Formats: sequence, C-alpha cells, structure tokens
Amino acid sequence: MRLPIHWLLLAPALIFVGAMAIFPLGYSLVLSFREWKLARSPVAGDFVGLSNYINLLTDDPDFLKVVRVTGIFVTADVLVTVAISLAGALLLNRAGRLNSLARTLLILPFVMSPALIGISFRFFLNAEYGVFAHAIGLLIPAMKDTVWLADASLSMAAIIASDVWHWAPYMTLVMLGGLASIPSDSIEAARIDGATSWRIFCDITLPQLMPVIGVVMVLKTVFALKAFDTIFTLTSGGPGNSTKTLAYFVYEQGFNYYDMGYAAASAYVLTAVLMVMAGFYLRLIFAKDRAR
Amino acid sequence: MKRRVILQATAAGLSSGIPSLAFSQGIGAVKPGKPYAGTELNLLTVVAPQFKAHEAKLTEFEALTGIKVKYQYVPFANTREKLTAELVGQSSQYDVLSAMDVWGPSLYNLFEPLNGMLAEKKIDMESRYPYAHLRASRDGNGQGKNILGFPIRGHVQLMFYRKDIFDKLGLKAPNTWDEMVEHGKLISSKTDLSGVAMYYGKTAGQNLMIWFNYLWGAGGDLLDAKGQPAFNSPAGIAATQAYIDVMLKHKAAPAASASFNETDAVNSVAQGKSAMVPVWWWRYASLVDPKVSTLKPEQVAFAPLPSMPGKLNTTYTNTWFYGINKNSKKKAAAMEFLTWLSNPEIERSVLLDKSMNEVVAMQTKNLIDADVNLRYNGMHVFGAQALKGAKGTPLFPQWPQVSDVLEASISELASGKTQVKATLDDAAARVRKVMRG
Amino acid sequence: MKFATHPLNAQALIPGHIDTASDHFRLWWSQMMVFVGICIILLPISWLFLTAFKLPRDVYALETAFYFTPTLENLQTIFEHPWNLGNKILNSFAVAGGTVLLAIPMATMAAYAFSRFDFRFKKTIFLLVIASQFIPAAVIVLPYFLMFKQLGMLDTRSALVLINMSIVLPYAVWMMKGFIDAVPLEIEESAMVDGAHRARVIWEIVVPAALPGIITAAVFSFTLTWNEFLFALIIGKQDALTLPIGLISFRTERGDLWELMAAGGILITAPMFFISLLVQKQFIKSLTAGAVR
Repeated sequence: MRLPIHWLLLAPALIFVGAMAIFPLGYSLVLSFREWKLARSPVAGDFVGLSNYINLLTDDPDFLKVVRVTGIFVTADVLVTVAISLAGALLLNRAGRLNSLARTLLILPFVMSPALIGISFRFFLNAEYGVFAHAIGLLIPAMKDTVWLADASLSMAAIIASDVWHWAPYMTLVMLGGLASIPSDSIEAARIDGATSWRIFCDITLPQLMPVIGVVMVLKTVFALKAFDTIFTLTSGGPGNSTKTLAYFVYEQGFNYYDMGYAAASAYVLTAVLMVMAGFYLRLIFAKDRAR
Repeated sequence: MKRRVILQATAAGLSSGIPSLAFSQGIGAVKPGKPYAGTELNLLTVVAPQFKAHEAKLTEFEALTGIKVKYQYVPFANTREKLTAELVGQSSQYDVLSAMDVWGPSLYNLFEPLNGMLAEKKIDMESRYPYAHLRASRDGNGQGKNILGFPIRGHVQLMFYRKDIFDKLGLKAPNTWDEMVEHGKLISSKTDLSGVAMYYGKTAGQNLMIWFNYLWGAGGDLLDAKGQPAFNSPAGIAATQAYIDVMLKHKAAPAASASFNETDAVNSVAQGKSAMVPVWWWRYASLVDPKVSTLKPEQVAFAPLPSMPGKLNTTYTNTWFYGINKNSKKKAAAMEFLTWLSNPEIERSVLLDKSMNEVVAMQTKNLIDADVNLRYNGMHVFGAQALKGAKGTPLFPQWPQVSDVLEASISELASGKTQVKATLDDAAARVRKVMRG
Repeated sequence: MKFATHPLNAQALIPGHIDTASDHFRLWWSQMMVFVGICIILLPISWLFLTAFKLPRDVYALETAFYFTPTLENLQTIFEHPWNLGNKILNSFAVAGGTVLLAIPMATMAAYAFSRFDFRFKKTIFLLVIASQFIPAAVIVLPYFLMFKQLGMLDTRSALVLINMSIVLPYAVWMMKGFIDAVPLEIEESAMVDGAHRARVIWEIVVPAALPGIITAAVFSFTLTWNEFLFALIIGKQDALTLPIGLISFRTERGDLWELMAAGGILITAPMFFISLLVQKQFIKSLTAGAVR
C-alpha cells in the first residue's frame, strides 16, 4: 500500500512538532489540574481538578484586571501596527533613493532583541536624562515635567510604542510583499479610466491585500499576547499593576510566587483564547482554498 | 591620628563582648592531603566586583586542594529562574549555589543543611557573622536550627550626601527624617540640586527598602503576631504618608523619584542632580568611581540612616549566602571550598584591595577591623552598630507575593492619584488572601 | 520620466502620474513622511551606537548626549571575562544557523502539503501545529528542562536547536503556505502531465517561485532564534550560552551597565542586519523574477 505523498511530506514536520511539543504541552496541562507550590514541596502535589481555573476566574481580582490590561494592550498594539504598516507600505511602494533607503532599514528594529528595546525605551523615557522625555517636553510644553513611567496611561502608551517600533517596520515589509503581487495592469486600467487613487485603493488594492492584512493581524495578535521581554524590562508591569499583561502574570506566578499549578492554569486560559481566534482565522484561509 | 584612635576605641568597645578565643576557633581549615584532588565544582553566582575578586584567588585554592571551581555567571535578574529550574528538576547543574533572602524561603529547599559539616570543621557561625545575616541563612523562615549557607554578600543602608554642599550651607547629616526633609527643601531653594533622591518606582521591591525604616521607626510592622497584615494600622498609614510626602508634599525629592528605581536615584546623585540618597552601603563605589560618577571622593560623605524623632536608627538588611546543592554529588568537596572561601582573611583582603572600592563585609571580625575602617572612614563600624538592631527581609514563603502587592501600592501612591489609607487597606485585603493560600 | 522597471514601481510607471501641483505636493508630503519614519527607526539605534563608545558617567547625562570623549574600552571589555561575548556569538550563530537549516526544508515540505492537498483533519492538524506556539514560554520552559535533563542534553547547543526548531516551525509553515498558495497550480500540473516526478516539480518549479516566501520565513526564523532568551537561559550553563544571555548579563546589581549593553547590543544586532541586507537583494530579485512571466 503506497503511502499518500502528502503524509510523506508532512511527516518530518509533524513528527518533530509532535515530539517536541507534546510533552511540554501535555505536562503543563496536567499540571494546571494539580496544586504545586514550591514553597510547600519540590514535587507536584495532588490533583485538585478545576480549582486552579475556578480560583483564577472568580477569586483573583488581579487576574481580571490583567485580562483588561491585556485586552487594551493587544487591541491598540495590533490596530496601530496594521495601520502603520499599511500606510508605510503604500508610501514606500514607489521608486526613489529615499524610499529605497527606507526599505533597507525596515528590518532593523525587528532584529533588535526585545529586551534591549525595553531597556532602551526605559532609558529614553527617564525623567532626568531621557532623550524622548525631553524631546516631547520641548514639542508639547504641557508635558514638560511629566514622569512617563509613573503614569499608568503613559506607561501603557510606552509599552505599546516599543512593541510597535519593534514590529511595524517588519510588517511593512510583509505588506510590501503583498502589494507586489497585485497585478499592475488592473491598476493601470483603472487609472486610464480616470479613477482616483482613493477609489483604486478601496476597490482594487485593499481587497487583494486582505489575505496579507489577515496574516499580519493574526501574527501580531499572537506575538502581542505573548509579549513579555519588552514589558518586563520597560515597566515591570508598573506603575502599580497597570501594565501587567497575561504573559507577565503567567511568568510572575511561576517564577516569582512559585505557584506552578496556578501558572499553568493561567497559561492555558491564554492558550484557549488564542485557539478560538485561530479557529476563526483558519476557517477564513481554508475557505479561500476551497474557492480556488 | 585622632580619627584612628577613635576608631580603635570603638572597635575595641564592640569587640569586648566577644571572647577573642572564638576567632581562632571560628576559622575552619581544609583537609590536609588533598583528598578531593581532581574534583570539578560548578558555582552559580552573579557578576559583582567582590565575586570577581574571589574568582581571581581560585588558583590558590586549586593549588591547596586540587579542586577546580568554575564560576558560572548568570545575569543577576535571572538567578531566580535558574534556581527554580534546579529545584524543580532536582538537578545538580551547580554544586554551590547562591540565594538571596528577598526571593523567599521557597528556594531554600534547594540547600543542604550544613550543621554537621560545620561542627566537623569547628566553625562557629554565631561568632563569625552578625545575627541579622545568619538568620537569613537558616531554614524554618529564619527560626530553624539548620544553617543552609555562608552569608557571602550582605548590606546595610546608609545615608550618602554631598559633603561640599552641606558644608557650604552649614548643614550636618540629618538625624531624623524630618531633618532630611528640611535639609532637602533648603538645598532645593538655594542650589539647583534636588534635596534627596528617593525611589518609588516598581522594580524588584526596591521602593520598600526605605519604607520599611519609616514603618518600623513609627512603631508599625508588616505583619502582626498572628501573621495578619498590620501595615495599615494608624502608625503604618502615618509612616507611609510621611514616606511619600517627601516628594509629594514637601517636594524635597525630585518629581522623577516617582519612577526612579535604586540605580536611577544613585545616578541622580552621581550626576550632581540630587544631594542625598538613602541606599545600600555598596553603592559607595558608584558614587566615587571616576568612570561612573562625576563626583570626587571628597564630595561624598555618609551617615547612618535617619530615624523617627526619639527613636534609634534602624536599618534594613539584605543577605546573600553560598550553600551546597542538595542534589550535588560532590558535597564534601563543596564544603572544602566554602570553608576556604569564608576565611575572614579573604574578605579582609578584598576590602583592603586598592584597585576596587568594594565595601561589602559580612564577618564581624572584619566589620570592626581598624584598617578597614581607616580606608572607609568608619563605614563598617557604623554598619556593625546598625546590624545589631537590624531587621532583615521578612522570611516567610509568601513574601515574594506580599512584596509585589506592597511595591505596586507604593508606586501607585507615588503617582499622587490615590489615597494612602484606601490603598493600604486594599493591599491589606490582598495580603490577607495571600497569607491564607 | 525615467523609473527603474521594478515591480514595486508599477504604479509609478503610469504615464502622466506626476503632473499637477497637487501631485507634487503629495509627493513632497509622502517623502516627508518617509523621512520621519526613517528618523524614528534610526533614533534609538543611533543612540545605542553612540552609547557604546561612552564612559559610564557620560551615559546618564543629557549634556554629554552628543559631545563626549569616545572610548573603545567597552568594545574590548565585552569580550573579556566574565562577559565572554565572543564565545556567545559563536554559539548564537551555531544555534540559529542549525535551526534554520533544519527547519526550513521541513517547513517547506509541510507547507506544500497543506497547500496542494486536501485530506481529512487537515484543518485540525494545521491548527495543532500552530497552537503549539500559543502557550507562553514561561510555562513550558520547566518541562523542557526536565525533558532534556532526562536525555542528558542539558547545556548543549543541540538541545537549543531542537527547542528553537519547535518554536519556528509553526510560523515558517504558516508563512510559506501563503506564498505557495500564490504559485499557480497550472505550471505544476502541466509538468506532471509531462511525466515529471512530484519531487522534481517541487524542487524545480515551486521552490524558485516561492523563494521570497522561503527567504522571508528563513529570516524570520533566524531572528526569532537569535533573540530567544528564556530557553537559552534555563538550558544553558557554560557551553550553550547565547548572545541574549550575554546582553542581559549587563543588568547587574549596580543597575544596567549601559555602556557595555550598548556595545553588546551593536554586536547582537549588526550580524542580523548584514544577513538581512544580503538576503534582501535575493528577495527583491525573486520578486522581480516572479512578477515578470
């Protein structure tokens, strides 16, 4: 019996991901149903069924706040990134030395280590010697003496800005790739017919670009939900708890409070959210497949 | 020299309570005959001038015992994760480990009790180390009888200030917190420096270090006898209010203090932007090293931390120890190493090494040593005195969580948008919950 | 007006495109925005660059922002003990290179399968492959530690390669599937009708056509691996330490050793930048090759 070729092609990747991912994922899932506080014992404790999850959702005021903070962060981060990368791609999609230079530089923020970006931004926003803080103080006199990292909203703006700085240029490259695959004849034809740039954008460019925008949105959402290094180094979740996201919360539960079971449970809540989203998205791309 | 006489007298006074015989008993020795020659030990530690100096002496140790010790440096910010992995994995990637008291006693489960080996070596820990540091190295939340490590790095707090500015304005080092505020206001009005660089920002519990002094000085405490939150008592509320009012109400601290962490505050003084900073003694190096600071040694002076009026000076202490991994297969060799390393002479030589400004001293003998005090203008005698009454990090398993709740509250209060009583009551409710679970 | 015949300039090729005053204004305005964008990208990076050459005390003041006495000491120090960044660079290259070399072929084959075939549970399997990346690293790092301890592979670069492969495979498969989807089926089908083996078709037709996608995925994977921190921290001890660990080592008790961190930052960012420059040429070339048929 000949093995269908698609299985042969898939096998290496599937076996690998399966082997490497199954154990840790399974272990963590099981762990989320047990109680394990390192303070009490160095080995995992008893099964407590769903109580970790129940405590998380009903008894933890922090968790609900963390969910809210995460929601704000991810939504703003993704929307701003998509907007900037789309605008950037449209801007850079023409000839010119300046544009060429810009396209070359786009990869640079992405290759910088996220932790380094967080540390740098923290440095730049320091009230005494920070360049950004002073520059913005010059531009907006009302903000001259603000202490950025002592203000909840400004700190949130700072972590969003640092993540956007990291990803938006790269996403611009992705969008540029998408724009390149749009056949130029249809645009030419529309122009000759006298259509305005705006009409062309809405009727031709945007629909063709939707798959790419979709990819960008989902990819960015996943990474925004997992974003940790930047927040850790920029604000440490502060001031107060105003920039503590779910990824930070998970880390804190495990490595600061040594409550491994609880950390696993909160991680799986995050996973569940992502699974739901991915489910929706997959329906979209596989539907396109069928239409082909 | 007059100063030398005073220091010697003080040192004599402090040491008079300790039988001199204990010193010779306190020094353990390595086993003769190199029984562990050829063993390789792995040590988990962080980069600090003190540890680098120790590493430089390792060739001596190898010549003495044939044991090779490898210093595996881990980023300071991530030592906890490594220790957690070691604990959870029950692994022995490292034979000798270091842990800090502020991370909580949960990690202490990783360490092998040393009592038996200490007795064998005839090392008397109690005469060697101040009570505050030894407590942090015990199990049972500091009350147990097992000693888990040798205190290797520990700190007391001091008030550092700009001697030249103080002299110019005719000020003396502040004795009370109120005096500090007054001095601060005067300095802000007469010079372009801020008074005192406080640090209220949220970073690894740093904004609690001075707060504890306010709290204890006012007669408050973290938990009461039943282990329930007591910091929102009237005394606690008043203390917290006074703590943040240094910046909010009196403006003796710069507005930037709201986001400062400890390093930012020290930099503020080193860059000539503030005139005082209450911080750990080891920051002295950052204030006088010409590569790092714009100040000269003559400009930097220190004094014990201010206190509440009529009360004694307090200080908060912080302790690191080196201990042996329970899972290690080379415990005896590791003990040889620790015995050798903890010889007071080694600490003393690091303190007197002119190529560094390392002030950290753990052992009582070195704290009162005349030469050490001569070099550092009596800082260590201050330290010894302060350690006598010092309270250290709370040592109960839920401390990391409680610390997080408190430091978040302080950083919130520093933003000026919330009220002290409401915030502390909210924090108390959370701490109650944490203590239950 | 002359423009390079570059597919990215398709729109600019339209005759009569830039004629009126409002067009001139729009051109000026868009170039202005591009300039601002470049500044935003370059500002933190140039700051970092300058800081690498400052003495510690010059780092923390605004006055010495641009005007200071430069020193090469930092670049020297980071290669010395205990930082040893030289060793860490080699490890980073080895781990990232190994990961990409092994993961990309696997991912290409899998992406092809997902793109060209229809089979039961296709959606579920795809979802599961991607879902392996949905869980925060903090929670799976300790199970990985236990796993490699059992295998006796702690502190080895191979362990890191395996872990990073499992991290990048999902993204690589997903990205490449999109690019392979865009390659028209007709060419493959006609080649197979002519009797070509499926493997040859993939190698000679699909891969070149989807090369931009493969390169994109490769660069993405390399970057993720290069900057990966948590797993390298937990698994490594002395032989498998990578650059991000080196970078974070500069956060000491004394605070952030900014001058060294900036020097290390240059070291960690520069290779990535040059690699991506090299790759960009290839990327653009294959975009051209793909568009002109």
